[in-house]
Amino acid sequence: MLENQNANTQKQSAYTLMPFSFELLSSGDYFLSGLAGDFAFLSKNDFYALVSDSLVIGSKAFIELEAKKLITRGKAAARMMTASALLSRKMFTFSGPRLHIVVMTRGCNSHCDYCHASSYSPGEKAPQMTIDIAKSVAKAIMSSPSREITVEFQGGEPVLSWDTVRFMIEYMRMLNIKAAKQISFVLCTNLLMLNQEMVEYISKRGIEVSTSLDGPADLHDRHRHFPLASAHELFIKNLQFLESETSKKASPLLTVTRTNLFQLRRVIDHYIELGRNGIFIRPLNLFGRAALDNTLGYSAEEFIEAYIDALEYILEINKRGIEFREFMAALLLRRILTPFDDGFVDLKFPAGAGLSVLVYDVNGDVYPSDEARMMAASGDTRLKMGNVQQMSLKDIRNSEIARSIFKSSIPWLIPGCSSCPYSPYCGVDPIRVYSETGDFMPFSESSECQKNRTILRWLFDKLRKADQNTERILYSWIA
Amino acid sequence: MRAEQDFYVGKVRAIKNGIITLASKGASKKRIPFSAERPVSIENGDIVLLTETDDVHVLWRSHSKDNVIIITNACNQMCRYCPQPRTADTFSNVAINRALLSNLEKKDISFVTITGGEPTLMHSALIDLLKQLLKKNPLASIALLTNGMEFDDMSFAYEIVKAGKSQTRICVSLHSDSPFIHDSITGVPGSFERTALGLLNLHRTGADIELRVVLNRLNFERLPDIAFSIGMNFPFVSHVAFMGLELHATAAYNAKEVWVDPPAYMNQLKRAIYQLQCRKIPSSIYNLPYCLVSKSLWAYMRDSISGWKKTFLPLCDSCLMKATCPGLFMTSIFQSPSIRPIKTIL
Repeated sequence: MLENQNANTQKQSAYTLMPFSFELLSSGDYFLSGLAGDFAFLSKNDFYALVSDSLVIGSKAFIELEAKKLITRGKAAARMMTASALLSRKMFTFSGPRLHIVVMTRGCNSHCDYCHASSYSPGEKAPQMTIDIAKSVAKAIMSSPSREITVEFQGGEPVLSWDTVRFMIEYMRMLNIKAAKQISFVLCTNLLMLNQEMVEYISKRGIEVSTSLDGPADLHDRHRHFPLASAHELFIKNLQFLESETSKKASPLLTVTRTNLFQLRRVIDHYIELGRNGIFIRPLNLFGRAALDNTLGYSAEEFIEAYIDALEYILEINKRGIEFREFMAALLLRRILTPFDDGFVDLKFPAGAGLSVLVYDVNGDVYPSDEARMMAASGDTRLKMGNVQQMSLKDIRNSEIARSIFKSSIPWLIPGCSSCPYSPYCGVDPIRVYSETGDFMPFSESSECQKNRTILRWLFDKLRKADQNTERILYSWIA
Repeated sequence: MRAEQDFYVGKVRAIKNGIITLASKGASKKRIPFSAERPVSIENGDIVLLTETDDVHVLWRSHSKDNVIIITNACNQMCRYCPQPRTADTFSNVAINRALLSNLEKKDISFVTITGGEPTLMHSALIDLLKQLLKKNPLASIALLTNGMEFDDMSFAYEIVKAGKSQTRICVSLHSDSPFIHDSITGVPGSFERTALGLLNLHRTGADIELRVVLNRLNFERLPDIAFSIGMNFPFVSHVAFMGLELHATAAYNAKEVWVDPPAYMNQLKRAIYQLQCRKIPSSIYNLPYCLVSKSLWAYMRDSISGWKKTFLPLCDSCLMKATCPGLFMTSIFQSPSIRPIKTIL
């Protein structure tokens, strides 16, 4: 009898809540997101109904929430679908490092005010990778379990070690006869020393070229100094030379400093003039030389404002019929609209550093990121994972430091992130946190966090309010 | 149910001098008069059913890609827009299928659609059928039309995918991204749950999966949401088919509730197809004529209505696109009032 009474008085819920996080938006509506990145917007009344268990079955809000797996009446499907999407997003955790950055030389042919690689300036005698080390690095890379890998030659200016770059590519191609991986090679160069022989080799081996372009001449030359010539003029000349001889287009990377931050529209126009299909607007990394120069930096607020203005401008350009995208926004949209990993190693969880990306220094030391390598150069060697001539890649990947980074980048365990509705699309950078605090564990409300949140919030708002034309443009960015 | 066989299934061997000669495996030849009342479109190689009263039904057309095996009339859903008459299985259905199968030769089995009712209700019969078809023609291309619910049983999903080898595409009807709307269309509470689990199981067994979304008044408003849900939950499908309604049987009865004029949902359909395309999921439009579809979507249209079911209106005669138009269902109780001849392509 008593049991019966209990059964009657205990209200049976018509639906179960799935794990979700939420935020009150300035519009008064709520934004909700689930573990695997499903999301919905709710009015205040509907949100209160949801959490007080009084949502009417079949109401508009109910239909939306159940379709987005934020509530369920079923036993298994919503959970299985969530698990399946989450697995798809986090598959990279199991597939091994895919990006291998090899520092060929610390030397450089030019001098940039914001250099975060702390390169030696032209004329200084800089350490270079020897053939012996190059062989060990190549072998280590080929022993990585990933089927698809990207090997990025970096510096300094890797072209200063051109013979070693060529040697390494040929050596890895030989090793790959047995390993049978899908390898892409990327040469990160300022293009200033490009010659006929290099272009032919780049073309022959299908090497991708990643370069730097900060805007029109006045902006570009402001912080990129090349002895005896305008870096911009020579860059354009060599870019055209390269692209007239090869089928691939070089992708320029923009470094945003205080100089071009407020002129991003001009920078975008310049990229379009040069026939680029997009631009990657990412904030300056305040490591190395950049940290010493306080005329380069800007606040998170300043960046966000300029970035969003740039996005609005790019949308306008698209509406005029020019296909052009901002790569960071495109990347985030892909995370919002699909359950796939984008291959990008930053801003994800678990952190890509040490897991999806490894950096090999000229002497064979391995670091989880470029920043970690810089810190080691300035005396803090705690971030070194190992050396390819002393340890197997497996042991390097299993090093204490890699584990610490991994453990410190799970948002479900980080105060602030654990309740943030944007965390399914975001990630923390434990190395940056370490450089600022001496500890890997991130803290919420950092300026990094503020920036990512604002950008994601803006993107969701755009998607929600998009007319058909804007929606088409935003979707075209993920295609 | 009568145990006695009261029909004859045979393959047309000759049509001469008003006489059709039928041959059948394991039975004697039969000659029947071919008069004006008979269906005119009988060809050599067709497999026909001769009933007790000497009615002739073509079971299999030798030159068609639309041949269908109805393995059962039974169904575990009661879809509001179902165009199939609801009938019970009889002894004859099963026996006719057996006779049809025994007469099928390798060359007949290039393209086969297995449907129902709900074919997966016949667990072992379906597995046998797939095995037999692929034994006769290992390169046959088979489509299995299903609501996917039975695949919530992983071992059954595995058995079917194993029997169908890589030659079988499993075409699963999905009515909405919303379990509530999906269930109210199928009339079965919990049907979305089972179909969703079925899809995940099929994917885990490596099946080739197509999703079929029948466009109707109850689901058209959420077409972009369906695209979103497919992209998020079922991104592994090979193809999504958006299908126009056939206003026949139950659908005809519920026409008021389910029918919506295609121009009314064209915007949602455009968005859905574009969003799927950006996610690299191919899609097509079945069962709609050119005049009801936005020009920007014409490239997605397929000539999907079986020849014998296809019709046109008198006003279609002056249409520039008639020759390649997928046409209209002859079986529908009425046609869209928006049908009109296309006079200019620009």
